[in-house]
Amino acid sequence: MVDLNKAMYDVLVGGMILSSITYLVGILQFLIQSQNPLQAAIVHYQSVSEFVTGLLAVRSAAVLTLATVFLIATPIVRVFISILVFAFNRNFKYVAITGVVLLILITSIVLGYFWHFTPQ
Amino acid sequence: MSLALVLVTVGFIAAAFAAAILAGFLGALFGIGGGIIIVPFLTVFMGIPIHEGIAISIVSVIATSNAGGSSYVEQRITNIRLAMFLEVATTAGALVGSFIALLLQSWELFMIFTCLLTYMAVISFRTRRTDEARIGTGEFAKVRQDRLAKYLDLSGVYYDASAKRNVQYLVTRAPEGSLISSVAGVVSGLLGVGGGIIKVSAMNIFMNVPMKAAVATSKFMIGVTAATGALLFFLAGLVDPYIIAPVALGTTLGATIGTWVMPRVGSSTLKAAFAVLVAYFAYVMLAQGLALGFGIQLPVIG
Repeated sequence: MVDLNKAMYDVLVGGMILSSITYLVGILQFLIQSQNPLQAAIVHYQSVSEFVTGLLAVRSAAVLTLATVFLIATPIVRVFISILVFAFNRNFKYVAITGVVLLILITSIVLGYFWHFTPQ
Repeated sequence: MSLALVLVTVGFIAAAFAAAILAGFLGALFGIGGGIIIVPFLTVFMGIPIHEGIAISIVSVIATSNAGGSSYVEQRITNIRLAMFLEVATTAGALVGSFIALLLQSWELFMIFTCLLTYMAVISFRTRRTDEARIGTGEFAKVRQDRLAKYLDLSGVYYDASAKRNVQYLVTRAPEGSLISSVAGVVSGLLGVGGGIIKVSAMNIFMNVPMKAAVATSKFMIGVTAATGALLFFLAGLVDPYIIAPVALGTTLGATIGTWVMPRVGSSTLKAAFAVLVAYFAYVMLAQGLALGFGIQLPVIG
């Protein structure tokens, strides 16, 4: 049996620490770069390659964007990991329940993305 | 960069950080996301456009849910199975709410939410002392489970640090609670907020879940409810990295402090304060509804 409590704790704390450290690095980098915050480079990356180039150059905007990716990914990873834990523990009722949650999440994201919908 | 500009920048980071600590703290205390504090702060005091303010807020809800959720899981106050069960309703509700928001600007919905929240505020306040009494008599474990709750084994136990005892509880009215949680999902889809207040009320008022377990379980859930909206805002480029950084760090710190305080506060104090918060939400909803439906402006921060 895998301890569900411990697995969930590990995922959430992992995501929290990873994103927090990345945010801190990004803020320090921003202060060191001494950019004018009003003209602080690109804020929204139009493409993945642009973002990766920014990351490789350790631009603060890119580092901070990476931190946000870590942050938003955490609850989604949490749902995914809980399915694995329930499956490993042969609790198939909850594999089904959590599977439905993951399906709804993916559906919402895909529909929202293609309809160019942002919540109010 | 000139010295003045450095001071302005550092000042901005510090102010956003401080406001976020407060939002994270209250969010952990009541099992909510804290958008009700972050959004007005960013839009009114910082002059950030409302769309970006909401985007920052919903991403910060995830930060507070990671920090607060993990701490409550570690303290074993969270009912993870109950959370998973209710997440079906909230994520489905959020999906539906998003489309309602796309299709219409409905003042009627705000009025319905106003009534629902007013009801919840009144009930929470009137029953503020019953949690402690029922913890004392062990009554939370003496109700009849409904068939669904029994089938899904939704019951739970946690250690109450203020009552200094283990509190066991059985879950009742699982279908009704799930229905109300889907309303929480619709609200979050409509307004871009976590809907934590409705989740806590659904669990505590309708499902026989003690207040503290309800708060911890809601805190665990709201990250998932907010994830869709957060990702969509992020992909639309509305999440300014320079604003989200201090806000996310602040809510993380505030939530961590809040999760230490919450178990040590008496349930009746917690519920009375919660009732006041719900009443405020009801007022905000009323103001929104009146503004949309009749053009009547009530004074609201934000």
